[in-house]
Amino acid sequence: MTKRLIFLAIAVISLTIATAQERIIFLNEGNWNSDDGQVSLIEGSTITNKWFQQQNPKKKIGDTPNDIIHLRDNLIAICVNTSNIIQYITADGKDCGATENVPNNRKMASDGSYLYVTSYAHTTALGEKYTKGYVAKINIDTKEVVKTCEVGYEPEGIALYNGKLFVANSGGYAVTENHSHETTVSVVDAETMQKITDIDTECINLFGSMAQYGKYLCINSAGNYESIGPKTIILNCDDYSFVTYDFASTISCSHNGKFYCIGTNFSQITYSYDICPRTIDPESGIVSDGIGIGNIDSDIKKMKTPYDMYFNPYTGFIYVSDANEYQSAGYVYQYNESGVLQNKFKAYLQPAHFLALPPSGTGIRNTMSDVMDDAFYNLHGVRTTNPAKGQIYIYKGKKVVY
Amino acid sequence: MVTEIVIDTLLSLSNVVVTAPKISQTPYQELKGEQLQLVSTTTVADALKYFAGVQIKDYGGLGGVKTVNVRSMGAQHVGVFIDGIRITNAQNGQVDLGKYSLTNMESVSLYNGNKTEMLQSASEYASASTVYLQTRQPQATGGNISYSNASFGTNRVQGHFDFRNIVSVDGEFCHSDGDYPFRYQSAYEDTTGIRRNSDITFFRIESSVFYKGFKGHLYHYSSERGIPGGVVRRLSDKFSNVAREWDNNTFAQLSKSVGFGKLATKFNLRYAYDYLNYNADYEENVSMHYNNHYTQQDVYASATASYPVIDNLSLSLSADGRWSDLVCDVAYFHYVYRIDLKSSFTARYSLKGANFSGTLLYTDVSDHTTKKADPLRRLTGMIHGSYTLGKFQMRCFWKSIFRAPTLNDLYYVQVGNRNLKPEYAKQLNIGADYTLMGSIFGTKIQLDAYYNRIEDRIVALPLKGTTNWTMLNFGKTRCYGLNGTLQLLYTTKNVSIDLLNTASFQDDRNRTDKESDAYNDLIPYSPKFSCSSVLSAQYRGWSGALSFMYVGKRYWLNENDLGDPLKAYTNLDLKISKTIRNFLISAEVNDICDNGYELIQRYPMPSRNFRFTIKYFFKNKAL
Repeated sequence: MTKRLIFLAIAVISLTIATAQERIIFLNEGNWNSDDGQVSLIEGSTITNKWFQQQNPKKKIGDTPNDIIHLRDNLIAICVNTSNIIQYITADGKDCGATENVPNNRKMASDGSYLYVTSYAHTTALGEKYTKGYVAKINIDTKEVVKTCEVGYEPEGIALYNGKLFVANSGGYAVTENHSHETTVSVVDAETMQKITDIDTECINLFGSMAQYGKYLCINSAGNYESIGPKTIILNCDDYSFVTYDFASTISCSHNGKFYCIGTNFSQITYSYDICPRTIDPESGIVSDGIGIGNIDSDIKKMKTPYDMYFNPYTGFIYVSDANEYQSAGYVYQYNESGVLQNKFKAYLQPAHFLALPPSGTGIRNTMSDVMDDAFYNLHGVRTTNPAKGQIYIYKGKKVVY
Repeated sequence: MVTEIVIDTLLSLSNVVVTAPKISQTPYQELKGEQLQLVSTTTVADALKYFAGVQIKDYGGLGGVKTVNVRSMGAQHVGVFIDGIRITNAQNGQVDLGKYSLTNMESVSLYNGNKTEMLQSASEYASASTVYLQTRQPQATGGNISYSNASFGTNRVQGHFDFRNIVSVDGEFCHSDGDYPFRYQSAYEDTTGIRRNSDITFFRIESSVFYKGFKGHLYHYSSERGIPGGVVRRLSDKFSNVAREWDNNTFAQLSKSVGFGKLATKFNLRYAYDYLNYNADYEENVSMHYNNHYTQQDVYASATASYPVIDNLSLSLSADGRWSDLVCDVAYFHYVYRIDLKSSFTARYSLKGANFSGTLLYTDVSDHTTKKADPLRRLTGMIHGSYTLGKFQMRCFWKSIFRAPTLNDLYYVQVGNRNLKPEYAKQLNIGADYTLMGSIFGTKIQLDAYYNRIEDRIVALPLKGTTNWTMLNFGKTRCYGLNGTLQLLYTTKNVSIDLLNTASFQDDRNRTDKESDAYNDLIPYSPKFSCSSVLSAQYRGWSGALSFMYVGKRYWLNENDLGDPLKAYTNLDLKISKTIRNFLISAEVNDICDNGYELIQRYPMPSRNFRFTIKYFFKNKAL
């Protein structure tokens, strides 16, 4: 009996510690053109909305924050899309500079020295005029654009692998712009910013964020919302081979060697939404229904508008956001690594784009090292089984060059 | 009974048409003649904002889209009629009131529900509220020409010519730079700036013909304007959302009333051509680059007959047919035309002071395109009753009507949803008015209480888990409110004073989903309280109007508490004119207190601004 109690006490304490390690920043996209984007912070089981405003009096983040990335120790970048700003903040949310001249910025990747940003715009800070979209390379020290490379129309997701950038082109607004949807992933040399090749996926409109796990990318093809349905592409960045699946992965993230996706299809027959969470093993190509962790699947099915999903690479905690009815507050569901709901946080409009901060506090850091064993995480916080030479990884809570 | 009391102050003016007192069984407000010209107004929207129960949506500046929303039911539930024929927009169902000038208007009136005259077309029953714009009929040969200069680089030349009591021609050319200053101050920002890309240049010419029972109207409007977008955080002016819009709106319409003994008939014909080019394909534009052209045509015909069967009972029948089409160069969009047939049957019974009428309206809307929606066929009804006792009238009405999904709602690429149901508006109104007109003093009081419900609201929502929007029938609202007007008049030989006060209280709530955080919250942009006062006076050659307006705070998100509401605002305008020989000189200042305010979140309105006008009359002294 006493043993049991001790065990229970330890379990409770370790759970408390695990919760205390949680430090997550996420973005609330807000109502487009209303200048009401917000940055929120989750620490353990408390949420602080309007965190950026609170940490920076008389400042707002701007209109439609779209992506967030950890650059290095105490530096985080946020794409504020409609405001044309890349906002840099410290880990405690303080404004520490901004890059203005990458208009219509979308998604980011970084190697710790440079930041790579996709942009829908045609003009660059260096004076180039492109027909299509481009990727800008920003020196993190000077926060200046140093090079650019034209890719396809409306480039979306971007990932860095082995010194190469993989850029998913959407052409997704072709319904009004006078060009067709894109089907390509552009491969760009990150060092020289020269395009190496375009991989034709034969799937149109590579729209939305993409997930990365080692050499694999999970890319969503949104279709044309009419005759051509959505698809999912798993791309191997080593040999450019890819596998195509007949379902959407509107939301995707990766953890422990697997891609977790949520696809939503709108059925013209039943006039209802069909929300399908799935797990893809990129090595074997096997797809299984559901996320398969705790109660997450049934919770997702109950959500009004599943909007993003994220695994905390340091703790394994899982976050799923629900944008709800779009004009009322979204919610963030926090699960522990076994999928047990810990908290349901009320956020602002359209919560998405999560970033875990390395756990702070010595005691916790020790625990973390134990928890993490010898795992390497890339700068997206994705656990990597085959770290590449010369790349920067998070190892035992610190950035290291492998 | 609502009499044309406004007229009384104007009997000395040659061009005012004194119409016979009407009995309206629905609440009715009007600005007309001299008073319409006295208040500081440039567009129809400026006049309507003084009416009880009206909310104007205005994206700011001369070029910002201006729509009217009555009792919070939404702009698409307001039918706007010019000389008795409805202005439509098959594409989005909205009428931009900024395109209609007041210089040529005799009156602007608003009916909750609809007018209750016998001889009206089926279309006049087919909206939740109706706004009538009445062109001035010429009285004698003459004309005027005017020039005005206003803040923000605004110059306007306008001319008007009347030939006998048959033809009038009115034309206008205007350019405004529009770069007006704005400021936002809150706990989170202190932003000052200049509203860039808000210029407009427009040209309007129209002509009306009145001849032997025929009324004809030709109208042409063309414009080029900047579309500035919402004010969002920027680090500098380096990048902007550059979009430009070109419009061309042209229509020709004809109506004729004929009597055959006791049988009264009326025929309407209309052709309209609307062209819109929206271009965002500019190098400095950082958003989407596209350049789309939209062309709409509309052909409309109606016939109405009314017959007094017995002394107390009149019957009326009307049949309307409308053909509209839409051509646009958006990819995946297919050509579509719509046939909208309406027929109405109305019976009215009068006994002493009591009046009852009931209308049945049958609507049949069918579209012709690939993958078209099913035809929409609905029967709707409305009942009106009133009782008049001396100067006192009581009235009530119940009306159920819908708005059909627009072509955009149904077919617009990515967004359209062919399975949409119509959006219903159901209204109940009980009210009373009291009118006392003496030779010097006059009083008119109106008070109406109402309850309305909107069902199956058509809204755009993002597809679950995607960034794409789709149109859905989502939501119910219920609203109750109170509208009151008090008008005081004082008229002597040399002086006339008119004080018009309105007040509106309403409580409009979201009743969509009990589980939702937004349940029972106030509907965005519906103030709980608003009021206005317009004091206009004429003394010898002087005339002036002081207009005051208060609008309470408004939420802009479904879940009210999430965002800071738009602040309550007061607005004070003054206009003074003096007639010297053949010249009329006016000076006006709008937003005297320089309050600055927004009607749409992040779309600031121009703050204090000035305008000077000089007008020369030749031949007769027209307005």
